[in-house]
Amino acid sequence: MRYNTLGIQVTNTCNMACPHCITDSSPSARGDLDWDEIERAIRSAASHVDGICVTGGEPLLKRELTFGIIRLTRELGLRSSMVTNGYWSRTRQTAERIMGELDAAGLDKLAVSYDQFHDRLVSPVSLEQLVQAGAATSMELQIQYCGARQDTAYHTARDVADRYDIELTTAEVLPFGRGRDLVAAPVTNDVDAVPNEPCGVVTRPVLTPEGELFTCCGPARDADSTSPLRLPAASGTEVGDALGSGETSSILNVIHNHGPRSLLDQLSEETRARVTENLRDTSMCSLCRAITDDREAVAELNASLASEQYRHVALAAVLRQTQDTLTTDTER
Amino acid sequence: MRPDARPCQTPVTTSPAGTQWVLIPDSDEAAVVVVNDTGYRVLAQCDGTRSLREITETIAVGTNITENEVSTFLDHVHRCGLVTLTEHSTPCSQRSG
Ligand code: SF4
Ligand code: SF4
Repeated sequence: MRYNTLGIQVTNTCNMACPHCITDSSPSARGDLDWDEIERAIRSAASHVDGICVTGGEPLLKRELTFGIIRLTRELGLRSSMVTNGYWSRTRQTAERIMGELDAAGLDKLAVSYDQFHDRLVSPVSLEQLVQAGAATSMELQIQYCGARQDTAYHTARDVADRYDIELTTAEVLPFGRGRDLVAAPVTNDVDAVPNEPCGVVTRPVLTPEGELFTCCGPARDADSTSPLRLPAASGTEVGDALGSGETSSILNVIHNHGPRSLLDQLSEETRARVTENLRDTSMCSLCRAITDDREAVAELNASLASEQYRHVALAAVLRQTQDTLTTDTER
Repeated sequence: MRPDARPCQTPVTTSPAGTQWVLIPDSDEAAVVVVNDTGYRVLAQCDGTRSLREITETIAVGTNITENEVSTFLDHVHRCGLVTLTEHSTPCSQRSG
């Protein structure tokens, strides 16, 4: 499995406090990465990833770090992206100025989060101003929507995305971070309801302000200290090696190639029953965390997958090549 | 494999994975193979002009690899369809078939 984009979570602080926030960010949340650590991490990861994504919290609250990352990413010939809540687009002038600055720094892609939680601070007018200003640059734009697709925020996001011909991605609220209190569904043990699909996010690692490195951006935070979703990197210089070990991990490759349901099938009956008991909901991430937080389950998986390690690594590479070929063919 | 055999790597797409390399052949008839750094370096020498003995001499610098080990490895990737063999020195690009 090859990693895709390394997320650099520059800060935990955000000027919003969305109830579904997976990173638990808010105006009172503290913790930032410092520049030396960021630079070491990016340089060490450069040969393992195609791009760097600046995330938070709200990255533009740490302007210097954010612009530094974008410039360094460009200097290294990688693709740069950023996720913002778009708070800065309240006037057309500000939206145009900041978009211009991001474009000049070399940002390739800007994703703006917008949903029923964000729209308490970012109005539909602000969203449109941001997208309009971005459309005048060479940047790729994306709107990221999270939640049930029935509210007015979804229709606003859909409408803006359609009119400006940009991508709208959607995701469900996950029972992690503050979302844990928001997902009202009662705990269900119906493991058959968990989607039986590969995970495309396992190749998007993130470095947090606490200096922890996870194989996926979001749901792995606060994973068990021995979880395979945690990649061991004691400092920025070790990030590349940690990504290298993740690339050949049998468990991570199975999550990438087949999904967490496939891991469940490899477990003994007793362990499977215990893991199922620990499901927070029927999302794929919930099952993935229930399995990878369970030390006995991980030991069983490591033992049963060991002889197949190279088959999983090879399959991941073939899947990636097929994906690349399909993308190139579609772009033609 | 005879020491004077000159292996020629068939076209592959190479994908790094940690300290391993995944070689995905262009041809449907060859197998996908995962090799370590030494295997990768051996295959990089298989340009149709170097013999097994010459390849071993190059790779052996800084390692204690033997001709027998390189031969076993090349026999394996040959069975997988990732190298072809001749006894004459011809660059891979000039070989037919
Ligand atoms: S979801 Fe985004 S905008 Fe909302 S609090 Fe979290 S980081 Fe801030
Ligand atoms: S399924 Fe697992 S690896 Fe994938 S995003 Fe969810 S927690 Fe992360």
